[in-house]
Amino acid sequence: MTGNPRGSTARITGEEASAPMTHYPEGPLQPQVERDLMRRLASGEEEALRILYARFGRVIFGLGLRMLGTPESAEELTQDVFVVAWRKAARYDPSRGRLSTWLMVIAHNLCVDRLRRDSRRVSVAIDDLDDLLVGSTSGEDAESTLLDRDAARRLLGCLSVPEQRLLLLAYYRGWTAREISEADHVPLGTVKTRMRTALIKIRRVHELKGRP
Amino acid sequence: MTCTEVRDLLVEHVLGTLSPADRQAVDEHLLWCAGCRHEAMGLAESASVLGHAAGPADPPPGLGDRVVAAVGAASGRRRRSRAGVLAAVLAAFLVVGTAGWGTVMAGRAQRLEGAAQAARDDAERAAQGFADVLRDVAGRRNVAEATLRPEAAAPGGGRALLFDAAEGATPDWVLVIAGGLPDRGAPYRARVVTGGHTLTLGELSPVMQQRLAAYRLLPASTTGYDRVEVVDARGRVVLTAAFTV
Repeated sequence: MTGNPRGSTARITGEEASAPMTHYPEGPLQPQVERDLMRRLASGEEEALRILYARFGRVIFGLGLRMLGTPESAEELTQDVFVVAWRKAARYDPSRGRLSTWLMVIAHNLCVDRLRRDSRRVSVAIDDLDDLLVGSTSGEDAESTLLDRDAARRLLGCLSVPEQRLLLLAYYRGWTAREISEADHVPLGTVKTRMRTALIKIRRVHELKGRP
Repeated sequence: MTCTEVRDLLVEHVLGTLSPADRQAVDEHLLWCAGCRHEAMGLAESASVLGHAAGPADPPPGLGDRVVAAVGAASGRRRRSRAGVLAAVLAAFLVVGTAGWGTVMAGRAQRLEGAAQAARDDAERAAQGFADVLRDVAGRRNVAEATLRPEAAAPGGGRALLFDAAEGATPDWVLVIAGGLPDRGAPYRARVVTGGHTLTLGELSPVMQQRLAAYRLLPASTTGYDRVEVVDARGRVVLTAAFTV
């Protein structure tokens, strides 16, 4: 998939060769641009789909690879995410969250559903999440775009390692607060409070940097 | 679900660890509650940081074209599906709303027990006819069915259909048709259940002689609901069944 300033309004049929694309600047898109892209996707413009794939395909594929474990599953997930995004495009409202967040929620929900269907979620140990744990950082150098892995990991670094572990177990392995509470012998209410506190910490550090 | 209950679940909602039923209940609440929605948005942005921490990975060559093909295929399916849903709704009106075979059945049943049995058979047959049409137009995989049987030796019976649309394509919905229920227990209400969660479909309304029906379009996915129940005016379960695809 390559970019091209000429633009195209070809319909999504799946039968055409790659269409040329309108140029969009690097970095995060403005909410109005995101809305426009989703409007074009809802109306079935292939170019809008290709632009979205070019921007978010690698991140979604990466999440699928991490959560589902095989390139085949990640590929299937990536296709499903864009099909769902196309179906829901008309309902996308940038005032309710960034496009990247919206797509990640779709991707993550699909991953969790698959893990539940396959009953794989509780059999995986925390060890294979160790490489996601980050040493302490102030979060000060976290960039405003969350499309960047390093920026995301710097934001995670504002949490203690136990806080990161708590969130990673839930997000990547689907452990419920109750399951963590039983595994760690910590009251359920405490686990929930720690999870909430950790998420709010991330939000505060992120807000300090300002939304793009 | 109250705001307090929803806020207690929001963290697990954005982390994806809620049961399908709880996720749906929270989603339904977020549709109309701006305060909880705002809270959920902030938490979801934080949770998405966890997703981005995995980092991007290079997809296999040609995946972009396959994504376009997948959406193109879904787009074609949706066009067909819209026509199919229209046909299905038309079929529902024909089956539920007209006096065809029910009148014949009622004429054949002279005694009270016979009439109740006939009404029950009629309701089941009506729903079965609808299910057959629906499977033709919407696909076998999306339609779950349940044959309602009475608790103990009580009278009545019927059938329920659950249409579980592909995600985001069309709304999910449930249709319950019952017959042969005694007047003394009215009004009857239908509901679908899973684990500890219940979703009320509403009151069963008479659609023709001794045939009752409840129909509801659902704002969120029906995935996870595995049983259907009909309760009488006192809240006692009088008919129950498990869905099967």
